[in-house]
Amino acid sequence: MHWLYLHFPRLQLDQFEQLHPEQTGPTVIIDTTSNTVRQRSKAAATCGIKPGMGLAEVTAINAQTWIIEYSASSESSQLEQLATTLYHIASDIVCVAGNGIAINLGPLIRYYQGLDNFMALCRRTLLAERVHFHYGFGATIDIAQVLARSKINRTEADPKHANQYLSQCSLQVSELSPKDTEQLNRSGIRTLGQLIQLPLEEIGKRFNNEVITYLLALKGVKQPPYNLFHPRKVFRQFLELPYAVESAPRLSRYIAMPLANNCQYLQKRNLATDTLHFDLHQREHENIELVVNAGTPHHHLSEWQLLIDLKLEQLKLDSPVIAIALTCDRLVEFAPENLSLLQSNYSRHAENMLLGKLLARLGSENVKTLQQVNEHRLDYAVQEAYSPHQERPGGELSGQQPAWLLSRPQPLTEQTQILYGPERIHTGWWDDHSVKRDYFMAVTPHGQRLWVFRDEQQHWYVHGYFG
Amino acid sequence: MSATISSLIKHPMVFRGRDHRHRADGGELRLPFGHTSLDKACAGGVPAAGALSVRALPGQGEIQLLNNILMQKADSKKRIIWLPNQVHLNPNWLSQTPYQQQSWVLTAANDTDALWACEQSVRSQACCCIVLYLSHIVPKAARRLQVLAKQYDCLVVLVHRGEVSHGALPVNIDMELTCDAGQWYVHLHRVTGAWPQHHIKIEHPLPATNSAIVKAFRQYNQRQSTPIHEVS
Repeated sequence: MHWLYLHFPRLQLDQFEQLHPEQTGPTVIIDTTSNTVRQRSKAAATCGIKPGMGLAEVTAINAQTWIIEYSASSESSQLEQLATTLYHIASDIVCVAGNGIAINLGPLIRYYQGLDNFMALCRRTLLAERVHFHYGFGATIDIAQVLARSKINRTEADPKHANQYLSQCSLQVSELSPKDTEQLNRSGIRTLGQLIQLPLEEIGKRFNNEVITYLLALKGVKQPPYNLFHPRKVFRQFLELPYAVESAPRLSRYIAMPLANNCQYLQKRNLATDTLHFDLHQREHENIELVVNAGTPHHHLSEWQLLIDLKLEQLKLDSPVIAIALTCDRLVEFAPENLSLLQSNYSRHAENMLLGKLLARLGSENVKTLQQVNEHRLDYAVQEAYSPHQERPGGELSGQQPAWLLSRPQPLTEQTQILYGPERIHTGWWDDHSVKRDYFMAVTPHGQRLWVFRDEQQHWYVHGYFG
Repeated sequence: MSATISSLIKHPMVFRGRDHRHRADGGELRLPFGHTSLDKACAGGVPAAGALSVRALPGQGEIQLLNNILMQKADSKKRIIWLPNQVHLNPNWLSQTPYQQQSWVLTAANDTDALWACEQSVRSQACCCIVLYLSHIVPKAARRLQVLAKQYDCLVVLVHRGEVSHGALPVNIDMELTCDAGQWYVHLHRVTGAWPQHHIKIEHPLPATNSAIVKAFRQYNQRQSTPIHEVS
């Protein structure tokens, strides 16, 4: 076996730099459990800030340092996203706790006709993702992991060469617990080379079985069992925001990242979706579930971004949002229409894209198709409407009716001349909305054609206009 | 897409098989209103792509005037968008029209949303015609819609009262519908390809009248009484 291990030492910081490219000042990721620096930017390193420093020390060195809280769940989601991306170029992938991905090189060297070819492709893929990484090679995942953490970054076709570098690595980069490392240091053992040379029987007397298993893996004798990574059948990504965001439209730039990943995920699988679910985690209130629907299933980033922006414009937050989770589980096969270049054919796709935008901005109750209604009382008929692409009932036509109806009949206040009528409507005696009206067509001196009626009390009302 | 290939189709060596926007002689396609005098004044009718401004009060029969144009636009099978302002489109009336299946009715909370929806509809290239009712429109917005509609091969009909607009709007046709003593007139404030004209008489009948009954009663009253039984 021959393994490549990719170590990502600053995933959360990489993500922050992608979200805020304008932020070039010193930035650190602080682990709030130990209150120490976990990741630092280049600018922070220049200032003299080191990993493991306390928060007070950091602010003392540079008071203008940007401090971001560490989020394990966000990094884990990012790692899964990276594994999904690498899955397109490699088959046997293992996600390792502690921000690492191991890749079995055995089948890949044959497939890519050489390790260098695969490494070039791998490097390019990761650079496109804009993440910092170190790598190492070894006969087992553990050897490669130690070399990657030691920042060896050397491509070795023969795993036996790895042992030379391994022997020089310190115990701090290994998976040994701090307690075991301390115990070995007290015995004068400071490098892995020294540890590997010790007889296992002697080590077994002082340390538990986990250390023995780990040493066997470091010697390349036995690879501990591992679980291969399989991409999810639905897309899901969690993103912890660097700052709490108070206004909904400002979430757009943060949503853009998981959205871009989602669209890429769909495109590579020739899939499309018409629904995206966002869970907006509020700091002091319940999560907000934001559902964005498109008129047709698709995977176009710009179109989705537009719809989401329209939704966010109308969204009111109860308290600042601290994290976003995107789930896309309604997937269908993408089947685009064949469009002609020179003819302006009717395009169902264009229509559906428009529908999605209109629904997002105006709301579903404000985008309708109309169908004849089985109701003589048109006061109620205007309330009945149907969403586009919805089944509609048929009906019978009644009398001369105007194009425009008022929401509610208004008292007739101007002088008119009746030109047509009456048409009596007497209906609704079976319910609480009995109507007995005589409808007329009347004209004002300005030429406005009104649909007026006289009720039982001889009061006159305007109900509509003949357009 | 129309805009991007416009430079290509203008090339003398490129023949575009089915160009719906231009006539065979290269002139702009115009859709007639169906009123001889009005069509003559408009140099043949309304340009098929662009904006048309109709200054009219609600209920002055503006849709009746445009009906012929809407029918011609509907032939493309694309969507017709209705954006009424503070009134509702009668579903029973719409069901009587041949373009009911193509029609979408949008309700916008204000003029800004209405203009946004109109612009998106034009840009989508899924619509052949947009009928937009506004309380008023400024020349800048009208110009914007005119340019977009022309670019994306769509007809935008702007219906407004015309009280705020001073002078003609920068659209293909800016017309006003008025009624004086039972006679309907169209005033053309601006027409592309022709000179503005005023007081163009048109026939603009109501969809129904009592004239038949009135006539019958009048005839009945004028008739001399005749005895039922005549004795010679």
